[in-house]
Amino acid sequence: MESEKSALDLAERLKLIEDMLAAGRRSTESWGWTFLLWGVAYYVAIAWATWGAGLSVWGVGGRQLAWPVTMIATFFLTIAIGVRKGRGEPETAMSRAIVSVWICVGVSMLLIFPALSITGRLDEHGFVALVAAMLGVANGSSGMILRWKMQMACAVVWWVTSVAACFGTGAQLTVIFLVALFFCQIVFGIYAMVLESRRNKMSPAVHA
Amino acid sequence: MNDVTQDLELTGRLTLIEKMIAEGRRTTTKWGWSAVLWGVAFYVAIAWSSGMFGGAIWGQHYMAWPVTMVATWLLNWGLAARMRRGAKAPMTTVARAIISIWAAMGFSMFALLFPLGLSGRADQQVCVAAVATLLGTANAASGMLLKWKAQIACAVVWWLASAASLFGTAMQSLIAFLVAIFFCQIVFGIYAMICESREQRRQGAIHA
Repeated sequence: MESEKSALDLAERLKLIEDMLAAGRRSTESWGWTFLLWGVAYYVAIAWATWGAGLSVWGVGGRQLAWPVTMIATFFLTIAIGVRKGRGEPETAMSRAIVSVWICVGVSMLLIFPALSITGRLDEHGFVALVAAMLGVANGSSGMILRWKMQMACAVVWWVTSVAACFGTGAQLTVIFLVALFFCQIVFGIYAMVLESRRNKMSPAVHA
Repeated sequence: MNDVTQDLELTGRLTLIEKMIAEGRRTTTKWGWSAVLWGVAFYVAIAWSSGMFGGAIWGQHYMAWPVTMVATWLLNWGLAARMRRGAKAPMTTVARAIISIWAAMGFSMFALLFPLGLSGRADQQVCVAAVATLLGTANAASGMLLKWKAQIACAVVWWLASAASLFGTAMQSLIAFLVAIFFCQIVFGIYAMICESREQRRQGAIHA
């Protein structure tokens, strides 16, 4: 009797975890636009900072406003669109975990990068290595929580970028960063948006 | 009727999340030893790299951080595997999320700090700031997920240490790092171990 009850309890728990995984993945898919938005924002910042000069992440003097202005504008745009889109699905333990991770990575980035920039302690290589490591934390933990191979692959790309950023020339660094942004922000963002749109198309059919 | 069912479902879901958070916090307290272990490892690495130990092996100061960190990681891994083998209950969703956050943070730290150290692209202050920011992120995400004020306080201490390291001198950066390790690894780890031992005693009393 007791073992039957515990088997039922385990089955229920497993079913619940599976449901939560699916809900968490759906919730991440609904945020696909943020990946895309931030990917484009990084591209805009790099293009603005380096336009007409050689290939680099920060560019040459005179365009110091490119990165802060683009990042702050994207931050406010993300909040505005996020508020308009609404809360979406009800909260689960899994979605709470993912939201906590991304909020904390965001706060950490908002604290460390202005501080590094004001003190002038970091060069382009260190900057890319740190950005990649922080995005590796966020994608890695989300991917592991959701058991989502695509997001885990993004985390691996970010970790490889973090290692590679410490070596090589400035031009190589820019190419590595642009490639990582392309795959982990733009492609992954579009992929998540496609999954969400497919699901939205399927759900009216289910409810009809 | 439908509203009542929905309310009941939401209440059930909230109760379950609260239960999972409580279980997650109990799981985290079981890892208090790991916080203490890493705190001691940081102290050993700092003492070794500063030349506080004598002798042929301890004279190799450049080996201090890689050797101490790799040895601690292996020790942590071995002890964690033993702990998981002896676990009686299956892992909860929140516990899985916490483990994912810390694992991703660990990977990022290794991917960032070893190449930064090897390439010589960052000074001591930037390295301390990077470590403190990553630990702040992981503590904040865990603390938010578990609604655990003590862990959120640790995150704030790490973020303050990161800022102090960037804006102060090399000596001030070292002091900020030592103080943050003491409070957020050693004191917090011991506090978690005390919480765990109290919980075990309480459960023992209930089962008796």
